[in-house]
Amino acid sequence: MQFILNPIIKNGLFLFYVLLAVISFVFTFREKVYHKSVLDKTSVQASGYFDKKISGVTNFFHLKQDNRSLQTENAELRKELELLKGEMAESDTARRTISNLEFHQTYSFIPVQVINNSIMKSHNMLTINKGSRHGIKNGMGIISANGVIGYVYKTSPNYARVMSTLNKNTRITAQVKNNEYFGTLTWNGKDPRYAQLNEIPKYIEISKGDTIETDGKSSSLPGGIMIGTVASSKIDEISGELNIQVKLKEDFGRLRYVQAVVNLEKKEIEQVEKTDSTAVK
Amino acid sequence: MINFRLLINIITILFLVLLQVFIFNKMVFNQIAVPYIYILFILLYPPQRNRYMFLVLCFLLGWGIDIFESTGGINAFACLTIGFLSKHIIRMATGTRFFEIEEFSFGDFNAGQWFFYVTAMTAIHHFLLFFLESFSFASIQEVLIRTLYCSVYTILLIFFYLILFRKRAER
Repeated sequence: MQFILNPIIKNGLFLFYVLLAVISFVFTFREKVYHKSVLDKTSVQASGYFDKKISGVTNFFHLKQDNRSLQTENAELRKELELLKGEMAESDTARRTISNLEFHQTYSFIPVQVINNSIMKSHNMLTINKGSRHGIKNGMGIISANGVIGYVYKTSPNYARVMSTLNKNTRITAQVKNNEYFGTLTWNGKDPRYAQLNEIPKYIEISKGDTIETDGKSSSLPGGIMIGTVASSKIDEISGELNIQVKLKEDFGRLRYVQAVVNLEKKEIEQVEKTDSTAVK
Repeated sequence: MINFRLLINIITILFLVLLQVFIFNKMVFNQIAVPYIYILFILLYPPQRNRYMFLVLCFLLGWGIDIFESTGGINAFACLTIGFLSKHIIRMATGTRFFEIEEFSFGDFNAGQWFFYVTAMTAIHHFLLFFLESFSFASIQEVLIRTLYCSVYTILLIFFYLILFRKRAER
């Protein structure tokens, strides 16, 4: 018995260290695999509470800037409204599509506020000040006036965590505006001002300054939201596809007011796609 | 008495976590370097006190940061590791092989030994943190660069703290 007990007593500290290290690894990997445990929910709630208090103070210093950006956005929207009104008056076909939009509204938006943000890490996250009580669900897209911010991946009653576009695991389908070829937008974890668009075939002509926007093929984001512009493009030596550096229009270090996208027809889309997969079986 | 000391330690940990998350995490320098000042607690913990309790406190400190940054347990692991290694690094810094840890106090350190101790601890902590965060050997170069920048930043701030707030006798 002494043979077994002596080394344990002698190396007690090391064994204790290993035990705690294992616990911390369990925390690490559980965070990446299962996002819905009870502990996570309470920790989102608690840290959200503190983040809200702090951002209440810091918001005050940004008021002037925010006002200006809201004003410009308002002006843009008004311009669009006038344009649509004009088109409606002009032609019958336009009226039909407009009225169609009115009765079959696909997307609605919930305005939310970013209360915690990071851009320094390789897997960046945001916290927003609305949760399941306000209709935020897992998998919803988050957009701002200047681009796609990310996807909701964890909710508590009053707060939600968002996987930022600046996260190595985030994938966004995006297209080049003028020729409508689509690829996957990812982030390589280096520079928060640039993201990468992959899977565009190399025979497509891309020039610097082309607009990159969402293509509307995913059910959580509407199409036509501008993400950024092409900064440079080169052919990847391994895959033989174009590797495009996209200059993001949104400055992620300064995010404050964003919108959660609610797709009113998501259930229907999912149902249609489900029957599709059973037919293959 | 011991419970009173434990209470003080836990309050210190809470204070450091809030300080780190709400002030030092926002002090981003040139979009790459962030100071991780909360390891001061581990650096300045007297090594002759109960080591088991010390490891638990290190774990709690790191985990507190993890809750706010939602990074799982990587800060907890990095803190735990430097907490475990601190005694050995103090032994290396003082250079005596048969060193009695019971008689040690940080007043015995000279400037060079302080520098070695703080640099070694900070570099190990930051490397483990960034390596676990990216969790791949492919991006090892970026991990090393980030470790370098952030370590320099953290070490500078830690020395500011030591020079300004520690009493001369303790230093």
